[in-house]
Amino acid sequence: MRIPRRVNTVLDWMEKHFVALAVVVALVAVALLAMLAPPLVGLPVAGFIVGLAVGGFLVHVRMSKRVARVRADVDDLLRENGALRHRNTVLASGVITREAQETQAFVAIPEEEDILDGDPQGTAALPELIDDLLEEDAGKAADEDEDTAKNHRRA
Amino acid sequence: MSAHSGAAPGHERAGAALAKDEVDLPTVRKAVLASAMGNCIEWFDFGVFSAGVMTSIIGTVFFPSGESGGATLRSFALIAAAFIARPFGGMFFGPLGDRIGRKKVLAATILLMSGSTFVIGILPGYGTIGVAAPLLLLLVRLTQGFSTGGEYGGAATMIAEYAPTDRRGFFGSFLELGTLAGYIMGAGLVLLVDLGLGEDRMHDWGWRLPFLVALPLGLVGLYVRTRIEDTPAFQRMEEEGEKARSPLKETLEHHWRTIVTLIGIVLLLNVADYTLLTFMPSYLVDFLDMDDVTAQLITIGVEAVMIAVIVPLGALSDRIGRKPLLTTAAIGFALLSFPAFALMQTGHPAGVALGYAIIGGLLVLILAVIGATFPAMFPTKVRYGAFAIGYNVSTSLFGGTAAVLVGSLITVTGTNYVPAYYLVLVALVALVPIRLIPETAKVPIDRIGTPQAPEAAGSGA
Repeated sequence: MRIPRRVNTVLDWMEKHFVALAVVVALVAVALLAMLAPPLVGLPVAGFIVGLAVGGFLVHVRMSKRVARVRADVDDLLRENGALRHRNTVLASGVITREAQETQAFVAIPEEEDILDGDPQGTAALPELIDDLLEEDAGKAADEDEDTAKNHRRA
Repeated sequence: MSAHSGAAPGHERAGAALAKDEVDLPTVRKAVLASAMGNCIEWFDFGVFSAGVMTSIIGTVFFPSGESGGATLRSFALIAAAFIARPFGGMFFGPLGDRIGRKKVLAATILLMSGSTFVIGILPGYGTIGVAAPLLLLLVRLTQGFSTGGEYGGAATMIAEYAPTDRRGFFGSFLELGTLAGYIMGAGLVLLVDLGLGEDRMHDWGWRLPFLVALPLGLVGLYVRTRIEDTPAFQRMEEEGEKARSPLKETLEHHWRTIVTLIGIVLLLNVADYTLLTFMPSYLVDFLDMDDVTAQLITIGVEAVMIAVIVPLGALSDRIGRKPLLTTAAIGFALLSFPAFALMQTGHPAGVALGYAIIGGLLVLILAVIGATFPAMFPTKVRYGAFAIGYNVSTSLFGGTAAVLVGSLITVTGTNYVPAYYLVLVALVALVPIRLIPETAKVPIDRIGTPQAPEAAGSGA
């Protein structure tokens, strides 16, 4: 049988406040017993006990909401604390964040030989690669690849 | 707590550390003990003076001989006389405590109170010095009242300002624990001496013994009070230069509304308190024809139960707030006073005890929270004075007259339900200021009423 959602909500609420509801029921029972006394005594006593039960239950419900709110605040603070601790750990380990990169972009200091005479802010151009040198490098690279393949076949 | 500043004694450093918002529990406990002892002595005197056997003895030793009913009323009149002086004591000692500190004033009041009670024990009777006897007794009672006027306000202020914020109700309840303990000690001692010595010796000289005990109690209280520093809140106020230049003027100008509210709540407290503790023992004997010993045993028994529950109720108020307990008590008195006195009219000890217990049970709900509630109604710079004035004006008007008024009305009207009607009336009146006062549980006492005050505990009922 499928329990309707509203009924389920009420049952959950009753389970949450089970002890308080049990006390209310007990007090109502005591009030009913008090009605057995002469009306001059029984009625005011019963009324007081019922009032105590209702008032006490209201106090309990409001306190529960307050406690739940405070617990949620504590949870939020703990999460925030955890996040801050993590950030602190990351920063302390030397890992530079993107923000740090943006703020820590230093200008490269040129080597002395690259600095042009008479112009400390300027640098010399790097030497260009000539075609003969390029061909020699290509030949050396092909020989190295063949040796590596032979070594793999032997292995 | 450390004592690194060289030769300063431990308790001096404790006070300085507390001034920096640290809570040193041993010092708090010492302050609570020192404060509660004064209240204990005040009510020890009451317990002795209002014990059934003592009211008739006092009324005959210090006055020309007459009927026992007349002697009892004369004793009640002497009790009422002390209350006339209380507001003046409050107006004198209260603002003085706001100016020079709580500690010095409380040392003076406890010495004066216990000394006055001791003097009653050594005063010659009417048979020895004639009309001078009642006049001297009246002078001593006025002195007692004057010193008591400064005692309760200061004691409650000291506890409230020393206690940690989240346990102010718990520690504040010890003040009224002192009340009940003092009353039981006084009434119990009278009962023991009466049973031990017998009627004749009790009437001749035995009645003096309980009064003589007050002085050593007072000296112990004085010793404890001189061993603590002034309250952290007062020290902070002094350091920040926020003391009121004229505390009395500021109190009456800016806080008269709160004083009126306080008077309204103390009205119910005092009528219930003094009816139960001062009048009821004689009510049981004179109007319900109960014997002395049974009446005293019922009184002491109910108050022993009240002592057992008062501190837990004070702790409960730290969780759910002060107002729920005050509201429950006021509504309870309105609904249950009549049934309680109806039970007492059955004449059966069980019925009398149950009716007495209902009144006591409702009273203890108020007693448990007033030590924390009343000081929190005023700012630090006028707290002692404003509280002392409001509390003692109400006590003088309604507490001191309760026994005489109720006793006289019963005699005039012929109905034993007069105390019930009175309690119902004052409960309905007190319900209004109880609903008006703000909840102050878990709010630091320095910040009550300020924008920085945190949310109070409890439901705000």
